[in-house]
Amino acid sequence: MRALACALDEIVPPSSDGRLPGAGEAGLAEALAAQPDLRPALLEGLALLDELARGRGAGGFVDLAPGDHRAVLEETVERAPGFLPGITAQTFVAYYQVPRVRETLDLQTRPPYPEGYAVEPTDFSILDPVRARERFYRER
Amino acid sequence: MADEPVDVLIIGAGASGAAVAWSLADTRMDILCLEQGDWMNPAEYPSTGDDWELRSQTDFALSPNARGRVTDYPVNDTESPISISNFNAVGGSTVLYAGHFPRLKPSDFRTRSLDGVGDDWPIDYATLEPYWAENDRMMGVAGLAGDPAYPPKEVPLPPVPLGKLGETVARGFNELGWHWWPSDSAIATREYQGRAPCINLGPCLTGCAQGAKGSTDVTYWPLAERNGVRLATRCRVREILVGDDDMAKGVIYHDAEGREHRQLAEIVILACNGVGTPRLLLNSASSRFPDGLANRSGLVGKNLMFHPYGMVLGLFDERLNGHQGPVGCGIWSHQFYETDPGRGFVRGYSFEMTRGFGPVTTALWGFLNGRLPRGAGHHEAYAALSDRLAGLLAICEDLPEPENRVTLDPELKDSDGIPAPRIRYRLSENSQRMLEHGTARASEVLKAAGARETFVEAPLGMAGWHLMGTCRMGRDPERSVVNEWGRSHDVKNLFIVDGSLFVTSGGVNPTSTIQALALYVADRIKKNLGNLFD
Ligand SMILES: Cc1cc2nc3c(=O)[nH]c(=O)nc-3n(C[C@H](O)[C@H](O)[C@H](O)COP(=O)(O)OP(=O)(O)OC[C@H]3O[C@@H](n4cnc5c(N)ncnc54)[C@H](O)[C@@H]3O)c2cc1C
Repeated sequence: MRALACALDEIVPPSSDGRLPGAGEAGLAEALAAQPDLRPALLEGLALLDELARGRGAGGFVDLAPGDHRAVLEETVERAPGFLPGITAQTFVAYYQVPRVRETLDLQTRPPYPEGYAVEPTDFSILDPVRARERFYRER
Repeated sequence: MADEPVDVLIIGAGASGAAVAWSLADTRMDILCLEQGDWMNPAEYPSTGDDWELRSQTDFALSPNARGRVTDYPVNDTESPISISNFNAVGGSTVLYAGHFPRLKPSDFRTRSLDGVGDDWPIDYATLEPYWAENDRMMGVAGLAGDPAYPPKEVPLPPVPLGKLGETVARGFNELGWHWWPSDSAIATREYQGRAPCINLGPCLTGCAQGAKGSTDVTYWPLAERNGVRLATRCRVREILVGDDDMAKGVIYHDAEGREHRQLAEIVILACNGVGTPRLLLNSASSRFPDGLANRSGLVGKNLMFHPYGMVLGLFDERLNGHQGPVGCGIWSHQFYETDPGRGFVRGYSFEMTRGFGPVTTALWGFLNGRLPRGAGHHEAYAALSDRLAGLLAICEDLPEPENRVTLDPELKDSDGIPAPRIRYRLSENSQRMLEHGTARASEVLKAAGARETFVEAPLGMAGWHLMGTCRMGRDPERSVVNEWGRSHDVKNLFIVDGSLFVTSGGVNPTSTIQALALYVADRIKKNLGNLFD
């Protein structure tokens, strides 16, 4: 799980002002690993990350020097082309559902129903130029 | 199993099936509608839960193949750049539709005479006018009278508010001096006939939890049932039976457990949409109709029209409150609707504004379009996209071409073992040029409205949601499947009322016209009851 959290923090890192967490820090590793249809691809991808890290002399992905995680993640593309795009899409989807993230970004944290949204009534004087037009469809 | 015979059997409870059922209820005949889907429960629609955006990819996906509900049938659309979108339930595809509700225009009924393409309809704008008006009242249509792009008409409810996004796009049209107008929308903008008013939830394409959108499960069906029409769900019709006299006798259908039933009827009305109806007719081949029922013209399934869509998204600097309000209802423009030979294509298109994306959809769109990186720069890129996208859709008239067609797939079957439809469709040169023109003009509008960048997708691959032309109407039995009031030329007690009837597609969303046609056919049936089969 640590390796996955570490990979997710590379995909969505914490924001530089510290207001937004990284995806790993936001607890998404557990959430993604709990999805049965994702699990096999995740396990395979994580094994590959460890193997590539060992090739660089580290004990595993988590033990890499801070600057190397990103490079190793990108290296997976050659051997498992679907892994990184797949996990990226899943991370993005999960990240923007995290209440803390949505709150910080001033995005709604509740479902649309039942409250809905108030939309200002429109001042239709904005239509005046169109109202001034002649009819322009072909009659028959 | 054989069920009690009925006077009228309607197949399909969607946009057109509901309208025809309600109208025929006046006759006090014994009317039964068989629908393969269920009643939907709005309390379970995605907008009631935190995962509202995700469910548009799963149990509320637009494609029946992605959705895969037991009530769906699969469609082989691999030979089409545009895939089929529909819904199978009481309400049919109106459960998912946006409710953008334009009518066809006078010139749409005469494309052969005016522009030398397609065919003229056997009816005209004036014929449908009273039925459009009646349908607008039944569906609860919001809008504003006075649009110079249309003959004068009344609109029952006040327009959907444009919101900041809509006003921004409207200013773009004004800047260029181009036509736009608040769309006619099948959305109750105030309480209407027992329906609660729209509260701007946003995700109309996954069903309206508020019940403000005019899907026929909340408009026509409650009234039709109250007037005595019976609606049986989870009944999937496999084939229509025909006698030696070439009259339809009834149907064979499967219930929810897959059991076979035989339902006899005096009149059979097909309302299964532009794909479901030809599929059923082709599945009803017999010794008297070896090429499919009511298909002596050979035209059943041919001339499939979609409306190729060009989608242009504009990226703005300011937030637009984009996902608040009915997603597809705001503004239309008919600036480029009528033929202008100088444009390099015949016929034309309309624009429909679309509102913005929710947070998750924004992230996915950004990822798929290379606008949202991993790692460094991610947060800045998301902030630049979030709630800053507005869209215009160019809805292009699709001309009828016999090669674009629905046939039966030799292998694919639904869960009852009934052969599934197979779609073969290619974009014509004319459509291609129209799409290019439409997306270029849409980009101009969005730029004039202040967009700093635009993104184009054309044709929009998922947009096979307007299904038309596959059992066209006409006076000549050699060149049409049904007559000028929806009765099969070959089988005199068989009627069609759905989008299959369209002779040409026009360049606007079709449902208002589909339902007006259904009401018109019902009216003709009522007027001709004494000699209906002559
Ligand atoms: C995502 C989406 C957005 C849309 N937006 C708009 C819009 O904004 N404006 C607009 O005008 N149109 C829109 N449409 C299109 C609109 O929904 C259709 O034009 C309209 O519903 C078609 O009406 P119909 O009666 O022809 O068929 P449908 O409404 O599709 O109904 C057909 C019914 O027949 C049933 N059926 C089929 N075969 C069988 C069988 N063998 N046995 C029993 N039952 C059967 C189906 O289950 C279904 O319920 C949209 C559609 C989609 C999917």
